[in-house]
Amino acid sequence: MILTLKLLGCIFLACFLGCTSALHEDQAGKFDWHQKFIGPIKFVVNDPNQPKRILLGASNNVIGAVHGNTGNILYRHLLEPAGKLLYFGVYEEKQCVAVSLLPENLVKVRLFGITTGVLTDEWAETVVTATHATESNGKVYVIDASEGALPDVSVTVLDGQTANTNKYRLGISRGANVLCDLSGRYLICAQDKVVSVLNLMDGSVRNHQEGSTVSYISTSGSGEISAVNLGNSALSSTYIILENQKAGPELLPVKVSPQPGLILSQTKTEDRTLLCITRLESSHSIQLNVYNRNGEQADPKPVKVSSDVPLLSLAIAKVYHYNSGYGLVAFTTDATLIATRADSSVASGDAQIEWSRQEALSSVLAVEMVDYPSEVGPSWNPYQASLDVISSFIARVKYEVETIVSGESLYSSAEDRFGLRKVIVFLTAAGKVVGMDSTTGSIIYTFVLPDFSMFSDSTAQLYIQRPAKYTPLKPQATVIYRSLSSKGAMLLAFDPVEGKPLDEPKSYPAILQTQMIGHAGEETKFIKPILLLDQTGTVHTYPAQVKDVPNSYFFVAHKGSSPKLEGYDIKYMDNKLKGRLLWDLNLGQSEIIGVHAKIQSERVHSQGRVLPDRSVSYKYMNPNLAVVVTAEHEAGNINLYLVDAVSGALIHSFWHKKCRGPVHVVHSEHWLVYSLFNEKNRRYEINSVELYEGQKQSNSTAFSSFAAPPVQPIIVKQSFIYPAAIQHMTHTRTEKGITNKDILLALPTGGVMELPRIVLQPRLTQQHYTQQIQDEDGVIHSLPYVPELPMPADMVINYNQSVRRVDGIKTWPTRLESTCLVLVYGNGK
Amino acid sequence: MPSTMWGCVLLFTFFLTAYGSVSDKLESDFFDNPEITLQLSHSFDNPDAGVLNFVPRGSITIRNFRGPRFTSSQKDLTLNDLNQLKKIASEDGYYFLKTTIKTPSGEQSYRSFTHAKSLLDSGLSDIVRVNLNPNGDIISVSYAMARNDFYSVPHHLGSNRPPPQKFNTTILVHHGETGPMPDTAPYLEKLEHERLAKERGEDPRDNRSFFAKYWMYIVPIALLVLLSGASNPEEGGR
Repeated sequence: MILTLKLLGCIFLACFLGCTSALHEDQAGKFDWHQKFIGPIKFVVNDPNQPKRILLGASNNVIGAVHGNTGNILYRHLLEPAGKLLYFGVYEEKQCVAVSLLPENLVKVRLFGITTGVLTDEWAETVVTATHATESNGKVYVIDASEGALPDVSVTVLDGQTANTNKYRLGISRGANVLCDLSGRYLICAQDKVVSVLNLMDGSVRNHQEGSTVSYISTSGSGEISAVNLGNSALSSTYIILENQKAGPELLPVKVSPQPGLILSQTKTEDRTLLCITRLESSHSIQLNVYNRNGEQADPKPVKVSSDVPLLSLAIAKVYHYNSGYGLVAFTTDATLIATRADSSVASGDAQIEWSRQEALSSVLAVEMVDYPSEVGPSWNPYQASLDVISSFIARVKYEVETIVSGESLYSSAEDRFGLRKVIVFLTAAGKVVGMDSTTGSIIYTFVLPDFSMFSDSTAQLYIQRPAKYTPLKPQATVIYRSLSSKGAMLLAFDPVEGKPLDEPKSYPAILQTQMIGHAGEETKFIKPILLLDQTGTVHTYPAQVKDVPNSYFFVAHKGSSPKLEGYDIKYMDNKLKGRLLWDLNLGQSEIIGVHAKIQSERVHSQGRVLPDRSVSYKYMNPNLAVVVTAEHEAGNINLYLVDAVSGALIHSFWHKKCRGPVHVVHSEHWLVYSLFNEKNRRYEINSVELYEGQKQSNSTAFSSFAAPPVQPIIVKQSFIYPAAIQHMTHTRTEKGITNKDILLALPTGGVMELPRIVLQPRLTQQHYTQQIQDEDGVIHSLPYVPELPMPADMVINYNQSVRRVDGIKTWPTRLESTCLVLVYGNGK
Repeated sequence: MPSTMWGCVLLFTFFLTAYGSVSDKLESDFFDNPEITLQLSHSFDNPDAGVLNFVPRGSITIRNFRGPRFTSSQKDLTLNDLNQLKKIASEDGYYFLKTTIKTPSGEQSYRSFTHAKSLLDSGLSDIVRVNLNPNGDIISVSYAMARNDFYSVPHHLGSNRPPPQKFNTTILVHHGETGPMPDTAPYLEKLEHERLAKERGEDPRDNRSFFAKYWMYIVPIALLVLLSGASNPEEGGR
């Protein structure tokens, strides 16, 4: 199993054979790996005693420290997942302070030892609301400059014992479009051309008029020099803020070129503090200029930092002084942390970007895995079977030449006969696609999606349109996301093994739903067509030459206060495909908290279950069955609807009173396992449901949602108490579906628990259980029902490699039955 | 004479209770389940028209969800409609059904469909399935065909069998159930039972017979008795 964990950038991979095989000590790290990330970085500071130690704070409430030479994590703390980091910085030389805003406006201040990362102190205070925070002389300033309150700003000063709130009025008018940022002890707010600067210490305010509209603010952060760069996409101006006791803070212009995109930072040398202005000169070089606190250039010759990889644009650039040279740590807008090597910085020489960290992996939107194109493995290749002898020979020669040209590392070696090595394709929230080798966790490629933004429900889609088994045809993956500029949908097809685009980006109008057809033929070269239903009812296909899609239906779940399910068919008319509404289902006043379909490509080995009396109970395996979970927040109810996504028939419904989410659902074969929290009994419960057709099978070859008379499944259900909270739940997958499935549960303790599904199978209760049944029916199938599920420690598959804040677990079958790859990732939200 | 009549009425009432499918209702059900009328209207799919025109098909009154007991009043399909249905069936089109229910909180309508061909193959025998939540409110209406062998089953008119024109609608009611709950009571009872048994010094798991349990005491005693019994006649003989 490959387990990749994205928690604060944490990936864990494990591979194991059979079910519940605990690892031996000498196997640790052999079949698994674990990568850690910080997240979307907002604060970069250096340890004043040892500038090589770079302290990082990320907006998803994660703090940590990395080594300036290598970028390796020295320590990392995952604070509350629901919190937001307002400030992270150095506190009285020996410590660092993190200020987080938690739900219900609780501000939590924590102090950590700067060298070890050990928590030394913490305190909390409730405020009205908070948007910014800073620290000065051992006091924490929490600032509320939220849009509703402006132009009034309230500043709360916390020192561990007391909290004093002061209110100040800025010189801007009420209303929206106000940008605010902190620079040292000053709050700078800009609205249109007016800039208002507030001194947090004495409350003095001074207004300033800019020459042009201000659309961004960048500041030098906390420190002795308070500087700010204001501007828009064409022009910018830079000021140093000076203290003026009588007239309020004064803006002193710094003579730098008025280009946009200047990033400020400050650094302390032995004797003075310097202001550093960083600019991205070209995609491969960064320029640093150093100024003293009077705004005069301290070093006439700028320092150049060159980079091998192209850089898009910088979000943060922190310059520091080390060994009488300058070092640079920068965070780009595509979520990469880049830095020079601290030891190699020399006095005036130019530097080179030496290490980088792909922090984009800390928030993954979608994951898929593809095999390496390989000669080993499935011997029958449908593509080559469809060619005649000569073209088959030419294709083979071409493929061999390409293999030699592109190098062997791209293709799996002969040792990987079991298909354990795959390429993991990540689609991240930063709009970056990352390809990773599943055996080592090393990054094969990354590329940034043009004009990227997420759909309104914070998602984007990733499909594998053509798997790798059709060599010499290349595998094809496709991402679908929302265009930032046009708000429509964008689609980009690429090779998931090499990371090269296979087609131009395609744009479509705003879409309602996408789906990939489950089968592919020779006419599309074994590419599974993607269908996009737009809001006007037109269906677009990719590849565009697909004209007819028989027996295809769309299932759309409209979220919102009164959710609705809709079904569409697809018909070819007037030279285009049209989606037409077939059915609708109104779910009443509630919120859809999840829609769970089955994995279409999965195989089910056995059609029925043998009962103790030797008769067979056939499984109800409707491939179109979807589970829709809704929450009625006022009444505190959780409802589950089992809906046939094609015919729109409601197959069954479950109603849970006084329960709340999160509801994790595992839906596979003929069964359903879901977890929820019971408010009445205050415990987590796992419910298990099985659907059977009965002693007769309605149709042994194929299932039809339109069968007459309709198949009404027999529902078998049971509930269990789980003694721990559940962060995520999924099931294992194998090639042929012969191996018994296990449920993987991510626990808040950091463990990933493997629970055989058979333990959750609905079974006889104690009263109906007799010795005779056990003698008849073996051991495991007829253990009597025990309401509480066990949590044995040797079922934790990730031994001591804790993975916290899990967002998802992805499993993937290998060519070896009974083995599956597990990827656990987390730390997003 | 009046007493005989009352007897008949009582007897009839008894039959009603026993065979719930008879579409009448008892006084007590009126308060438990106020009757609900499903207004059915249908539309024959027209690929050229963007909006479907629904025309009334009839109504079904459900008097009791248990059973369920209902009365159906539906118009027969006209020959014109039937021809249109056949035409749609040949084009693999759809037949749409809209169910409208008046509730105190307003009017609620549900849209469902089937293939026109399936409707013909079923001989207009359809199933309207009403899904209820645990409170007894209607949450959705599903539509399906009851059979698919109208033309294939043998009929005394052979292939000249007239096409169906009369709707034969079945109502199914599905009660939503509350989800499963952990069944702790019997398990705790069993634990308590075992604890008590232990206090009394019995092992409830040991259900062997008396002899099987104490043979090690019985056999030596029996041997002793046998041996001592064997020596007695000698003494007696002396």
